[in-house]
This record gives sequence, structure tokens and C-alpha cells, in this order.
Amino acid sequence: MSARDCLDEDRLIDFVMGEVTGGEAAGIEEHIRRCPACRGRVESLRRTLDLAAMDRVPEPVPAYWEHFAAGVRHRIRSRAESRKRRIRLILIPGLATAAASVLIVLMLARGPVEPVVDVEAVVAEINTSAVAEEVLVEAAVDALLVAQFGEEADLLDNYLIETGDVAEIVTELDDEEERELINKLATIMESRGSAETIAGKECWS
Amino acid sequence: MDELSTRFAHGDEGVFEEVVERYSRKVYGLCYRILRDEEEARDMAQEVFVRVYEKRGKFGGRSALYTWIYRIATNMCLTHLKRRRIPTVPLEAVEGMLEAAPAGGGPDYSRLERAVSQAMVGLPPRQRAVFAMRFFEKMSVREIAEATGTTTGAVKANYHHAVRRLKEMLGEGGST
Repeated sequence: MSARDCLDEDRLIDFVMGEVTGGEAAGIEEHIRRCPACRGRVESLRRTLDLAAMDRVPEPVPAYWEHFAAGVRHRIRSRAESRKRRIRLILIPGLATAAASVLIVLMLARGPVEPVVDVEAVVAEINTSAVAEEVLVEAAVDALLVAQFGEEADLLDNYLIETGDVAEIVTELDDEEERELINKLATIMESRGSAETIAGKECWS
Repeated sequence: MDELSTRFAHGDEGVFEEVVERYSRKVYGLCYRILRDEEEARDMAQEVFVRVYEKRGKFGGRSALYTWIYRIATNMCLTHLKRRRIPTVPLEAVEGMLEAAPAGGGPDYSRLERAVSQAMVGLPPRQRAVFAMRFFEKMSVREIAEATGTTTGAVKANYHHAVRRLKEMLGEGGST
């Protein structure tokens, strides 16, 4: 059998994985029976997958599982408190506006190389979402914290991808805090005035 | 959609503990297979459920609950890997470990396991994630596409690349 009749490697992988059935599987089996080259490739693939099957996940100590749910609950509580503290930073006069600038600088700095922040999506979100301003402000506060304290900037990813976060956080504020937040956001809106851009895109007007 | 997923989708507050109980080991396993670091996987598994809790209002039941959770886990692990320096594994290192297996007295399984583990580290993270879900979790291509937020074609391509890479690193050296 000539080399050009030999089977595609991807198809052989599917065959070895048992994903080729019926007449096609029978055809491949017949080909393999008559073609030493493809037979060798199939044997090599099977050997590879047999070895891969030896890969083990290390089992944590029993205490890890015993305290797993409690650990998750503890983290949830801590995270909620941490977020609440961050949202309160918005209430500090001038901080949010400064933070918004930092956010824009960070986004520009990241540029087109690593599209962790989907600028198009953010722009669309800002233009259409009722919580967009809150999203921006919270992300901005996080960005400011990152800039100041040198933490990894993962908070940006979290908030700009999932806009519902801020709505949840806002519901955790008491009435007085919520009123303050609304007033602060209104002030920020006024202070922006003219259009600003993120990565050359007009994001609000 | 099973009962647990339905209750979760409807915002049943009491169901979260059951979700943790049912999926924690699977999530830990997936995290380990992507991160290849036990300590990080233990930490990440808990973080995944924190995120699941925080995002619970976004689960609409359009996909299976476990693929939704896997999607969160996969995204978090891949994001984490982007930030840590991923050690590169030269092909020669794996081959060396395989060749050092004793000729007589049967295969040295601990050495083989280490070689296999090193080969897994040598896969690009996304291929590692797809391979883990397809090969170890026996998830369908469609389920993996949902869990990774990509197309079935991309999943197949990632899987094929992963197997070819593993074959390159392990295939010929694996004969005993």
C-alpha cells in the first residue's frame, strides 16, 4: 500500500479513542491489517495513551476534604467583606475619579498584546448596561489598589467580564451606604463631562 | 437537567453545600490536571467554589451544572497559569527518564509515572485542559466545548495536538 493511501493521524487518534464506528471503523481496521506503517502508528498511539493513563492525581490528606466546605464558606465570607471594604473606598472623595484614570491607563498599558480585558465588550457594556458605571468604578478602584499595592491585576479580569458582580455587592450595602454610592456615582458622571476614550474607542458621551 | 441543577438554577440557597459535596473532588482533579501542582490545585478548587457561589445567579440551566462549574474552573486555572511562569519541559528530559527505566525486572512504574507527569507539564495549558476532560473525565467533545467556551472543532484540534505531543514525548520511549 502506498504512503498516500495511509490514514490521517487525527483520524487514527479518533479510531484509537473508539470514536470511529460502523463502516468507517471497519475500513480503518482493514487498512491497518494490510498497512504496516499505519499499524505501527496505531500501536504507538495506543502505547502513548496507555502511558498517559498512568497519570495520577495526588490525593490530598483526609483533613482537606473534611474541611473543604468549611474552607469555601470561610473564603466566601472573607471575600464578601473584602469587596464591601473596596466598594466603600468609592465613597472617599476624589478616589473613584482618580481610580477611573488609573483604570484607563492600565487598560491602555495592557494594549492589544494580551486581550484579557475585552475592550469591545467593555465599551458595549458601558453603552448599554444599567450597572455599567458601577462596574467601571469598582474595577477602577481595584485597579487603583493594584497600582498602589502592586498586587496581581486579576481583579480587572473578574469585574470587567462579569458585570453582575457589582449589582450583587450593591445589594449588600445598607441604605445609607447605597445613597452615598449613588451620589458619588452621580458626581463622577458630572466630573467626566466630555467623552473619554479607552484604547481609542469612545466609551461614553 | 437533574434535580440538583434545577434547584441550583432556581436559586435554592440550601443546594450549594450539595453542589460542593458532589463536585469538589472532580474540580480538584481537573485543577490538578491543568495546574500540575498539588498545593495550587487544593487552593484553586476552593476558589472555584467561591466563584461558583458568587456567580450562582448566572447559571441559567442552559448547560449542565457540571460543565458550567468546569468552565469556571478551567478559566480560573488558565488565567492562573498565564500569571505564573510555566516551566518548560524539554523533550530530552522526558526521554531521559523513559530510557533510564530498567531493562530487566519489569518496568519501573514510579519512574514511568514521573515521565508521564513531566510530559503532561509539557503540554500547553489549554491542550492539557482539553486532554484531561476528554481522556480522564470522558466528557464529550460538545461538553468540553461548553466547558472551555470554544467550538467543537477547536476542542478536537486541541485534543489531537495534545495526543500528538504526548506521542512525541512518550510514544517511542514507552515500549518496554
